[in-house]
Amino acid sequence: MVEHIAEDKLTIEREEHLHFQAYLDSISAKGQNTTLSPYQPGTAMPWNRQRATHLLRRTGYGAHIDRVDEMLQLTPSQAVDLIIQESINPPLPPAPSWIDETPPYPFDGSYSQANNARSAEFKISWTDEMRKVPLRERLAFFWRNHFVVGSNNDIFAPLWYRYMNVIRTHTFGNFKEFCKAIGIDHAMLIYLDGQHNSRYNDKPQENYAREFLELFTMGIKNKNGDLNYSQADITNLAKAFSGYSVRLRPEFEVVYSQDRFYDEDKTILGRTGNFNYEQAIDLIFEERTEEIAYHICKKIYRYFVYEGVNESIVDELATIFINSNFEILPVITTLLKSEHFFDPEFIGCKIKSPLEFLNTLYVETGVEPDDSLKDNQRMWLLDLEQDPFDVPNVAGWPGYRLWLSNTTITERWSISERTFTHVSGSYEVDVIDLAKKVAGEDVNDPALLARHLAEYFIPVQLPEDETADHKTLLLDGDPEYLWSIDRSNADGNIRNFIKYLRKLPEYNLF
Amino acid sequence: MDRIKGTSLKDGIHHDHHHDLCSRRDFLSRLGLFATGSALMLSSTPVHALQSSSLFRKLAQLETDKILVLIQLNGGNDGLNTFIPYENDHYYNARPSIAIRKNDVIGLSDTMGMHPALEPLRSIWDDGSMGIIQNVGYPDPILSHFTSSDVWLTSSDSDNIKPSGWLGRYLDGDYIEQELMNQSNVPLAVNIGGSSSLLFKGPDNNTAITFSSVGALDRITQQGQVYSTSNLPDTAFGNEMRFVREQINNSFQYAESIKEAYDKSSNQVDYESRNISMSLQVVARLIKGGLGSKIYMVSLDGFDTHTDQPSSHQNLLQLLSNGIRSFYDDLKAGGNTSEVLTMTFSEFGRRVEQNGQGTDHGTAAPIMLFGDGITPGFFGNDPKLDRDNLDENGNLVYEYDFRSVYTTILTDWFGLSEQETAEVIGREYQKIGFLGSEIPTSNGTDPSIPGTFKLEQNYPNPFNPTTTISFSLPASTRVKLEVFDIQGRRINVLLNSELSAGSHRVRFDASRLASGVYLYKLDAGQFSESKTMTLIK
Repeated sequence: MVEHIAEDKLTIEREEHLHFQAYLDSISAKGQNTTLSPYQPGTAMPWNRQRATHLLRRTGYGAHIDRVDEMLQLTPSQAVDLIIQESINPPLPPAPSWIDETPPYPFDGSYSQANNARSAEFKISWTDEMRKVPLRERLAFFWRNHFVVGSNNDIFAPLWYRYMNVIRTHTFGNFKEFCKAIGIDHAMLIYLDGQHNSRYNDKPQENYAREFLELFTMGIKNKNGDLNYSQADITNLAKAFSGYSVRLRPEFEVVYSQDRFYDEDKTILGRTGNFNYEQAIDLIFEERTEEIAYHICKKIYRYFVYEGVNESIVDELATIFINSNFEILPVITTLLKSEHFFDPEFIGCKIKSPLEFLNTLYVETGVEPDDSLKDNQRMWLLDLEQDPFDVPNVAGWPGYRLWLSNTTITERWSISERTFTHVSGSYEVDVIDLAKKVAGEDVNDPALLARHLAEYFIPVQLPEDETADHKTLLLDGDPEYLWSIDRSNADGNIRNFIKYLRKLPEYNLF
Repeated sequence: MDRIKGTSLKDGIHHDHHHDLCSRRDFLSRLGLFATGSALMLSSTPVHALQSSSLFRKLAQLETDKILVLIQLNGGNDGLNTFIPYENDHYYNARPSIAIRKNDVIGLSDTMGMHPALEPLRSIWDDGSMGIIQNVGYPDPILSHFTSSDVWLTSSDSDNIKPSGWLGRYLDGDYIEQELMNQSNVPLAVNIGGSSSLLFKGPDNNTAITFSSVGALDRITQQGQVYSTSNLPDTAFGNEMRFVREQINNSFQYAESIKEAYDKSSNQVDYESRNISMSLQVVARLIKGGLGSKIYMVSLDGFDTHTDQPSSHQNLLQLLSNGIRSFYDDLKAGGNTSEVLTMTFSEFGRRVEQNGQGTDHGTAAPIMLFGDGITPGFFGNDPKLDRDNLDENGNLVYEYDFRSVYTTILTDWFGLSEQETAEVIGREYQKIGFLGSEIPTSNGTDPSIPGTFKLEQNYPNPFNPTTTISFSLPASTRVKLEVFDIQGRRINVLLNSELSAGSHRVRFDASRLASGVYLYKLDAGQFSESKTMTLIK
């Protein structure tokens, strides 16, 4: 006999989240003919630019031609290892100068003004980091959208920095330890009200405990459709999580006070005892091992492969997760090295999020944005509906098809032009050099050059009748016999053709 | 769950986004759960019902046939090598190796001429259907491409850029007649090229239908949809390809009316098969086919001529002038030149002094205007190129604020009142007389102040279908010039605005009227006079 869950909290947002999950679950699974066994290149699935690009795009933010060709010098397995090593080794981003700037008491406007500037700076450095340490940041973003902290006026920039570092530290690590660390992070304690969870209140503050079970670990139901926990479990778990608070002065600090803790027996998932924070998390992982592994691996699968979940693959990943006692890295490594990951069905089936879209624009043309571009960037992310600090709610950005509306699509066109203006500034793109690398010897054949460029920028194969006019578009009225990469108008023609490619619907896929 | 962003007004920008993000219907439609008819459910429908006062309705009725075609020259067009002060030594001294030689210049006045690549425009000039506003810019100029583009597109001050475009505010505001707004199958504006969607961003809606390329528009005119969604593979990527394609197809709820207008019309001249010409070619057909959109925008890239300017600028001007010439001839053949005003603009001009074989970002630059509705010739002084008259960076100092150009278009072309125009533009700006309300300064006519009011007989008379009405004012006055039929029904208000002292000419186009005698009446303060004119078709 299980109580109805969360009746008081069945808000519209929650309902939409469930609705969206149900929608995701209705997408049919693909890639039925491939398994998790290591990808062995062959005639059906050659290790070529298309696959190397696929690997780089799915493990980072876009792929530059130089990097693609570098991957092809390695075996697929070596390439995955290199990508992982290059993301595990680098140190965390250096602490900003304002890391310990605490708000004054009484609070005044100048701190909040300074804080706005710091947040802006932090957002920009964050997007920069995505291009520098691609896989770590790609995974960090996954976890950021999992252990969500949304906008809250009390989460100052120094706390965002701390929160992101908790995430980065654990991003390839142990999921159970990750759970333990994130729940007592300053920002999380503020956002989900953990700081108000004290026995001196009338009732335990359940907000964090509820999301911990529903979103962060196991989900409301298991794969058979049975409820994973009851309302009583939430209340008791909240008691075990009590006692923590956040200090903003004289320094940022998370404080545990024994006297605020519910020092009493709790019954959680059928077990009774005076569990504290750590013990309760251990208990949950013991009692719901399979549910947690399944829930998390399904989400990882959706992030790296496709929204339509292949259940048997997810089950296998879950087994790996359990056997390694919830280490994240083995799951990621196995998935990325698998033939399933390289299945042609999945190349170009993901819809770019705004951050993926924007960073890809830079990376694939080798642009390092200058300050004026970066300034615009924050506005563009708002227009595309993904301000990195402002997640719509604790369920995270639903993403997927919701990223694209007729408004955001035209915004995307506009932004793709603006990151590609021919200027003498610091982010000028050498399109001639790019074309030479992409097309090699074919660069002087307009039809072949157009084809190489289309294959470089567009992940999927376009129908024949639609590529027929690519040569004409590239030539833009010039007679074919005049075409040469050394002609003075080659730069402009290639540039315009790339602009055209980046406005195709399929450019929004990766 | 925590609150959703944008649910409170203090969230500012997010509040607007919230409408997009959170309405249930929208949420579901974006999931594709309503596959059929989802076009109807998409957000940001460019047309919405508006309350409009009788005044606006009246204005709109009078002016519904007016169309504006904008050609954006991306990158910063070099004004000085487009319209050349060929008698000015400063010009030749500043540009020893990239100046246009005096012998090559196509002379338009005693002091100004145009680049030889603009030769195709000569016949339009000779027709009296081309105007040039010189030295258009704005205070505290910004030399960054997109900041300066934003200033132009939004009609902003350079230190405070507005979030919406001036035409977006016009189209999305309460300025257009209800009836027109309700024709929801007709886009108010058509943008080909996509880089300037900001221009059409209104306070609530994006008012333009934007095509990524002329090819996308072509596919609508051929197939009635942009991207084919049949024959896509049943794979993960096939599913998502179908989705992104449908999403773009659905955005084009206007596909049918566009195809209909296109099919109904034809091009009567040949166009070059170059992007800019092909875009104008389609625009001409949509206008002739009576699509009903009021504004069209096309763009030409590549004007950022830091290096290799002589050949690249020559190419660009060639592309531009060929396109405009074909477009103008095509409209002329279809009898549409009096309802269409075509204007070029660019985010800035270029530095007076050359740098290597090119030029750096500059400030003020000329705007070109085409159409029978305009007063032809040069407006403004010739560029002043001596050191004393340049700014500290060696750039031209503007003479006309670009917002004066917009103000003139909104009042004298689209018929907004001065107050409404000021709302759209941000504040009041002096008008420039290129839409028939003032004789241009360097057109050979001396605008000496007449002693009395005088309404001249129209010329030619009888006429078919256009004629010019001239009058003179001894002092600055509010002037109304109306046309009535012999039953006394008002046909048109040609002019209703404050005009300066001097001689004025207004062109009247009667191509939609039947043959017969018409009356034109001038009211200017105490003065009132009528004359008759005869239309013979």
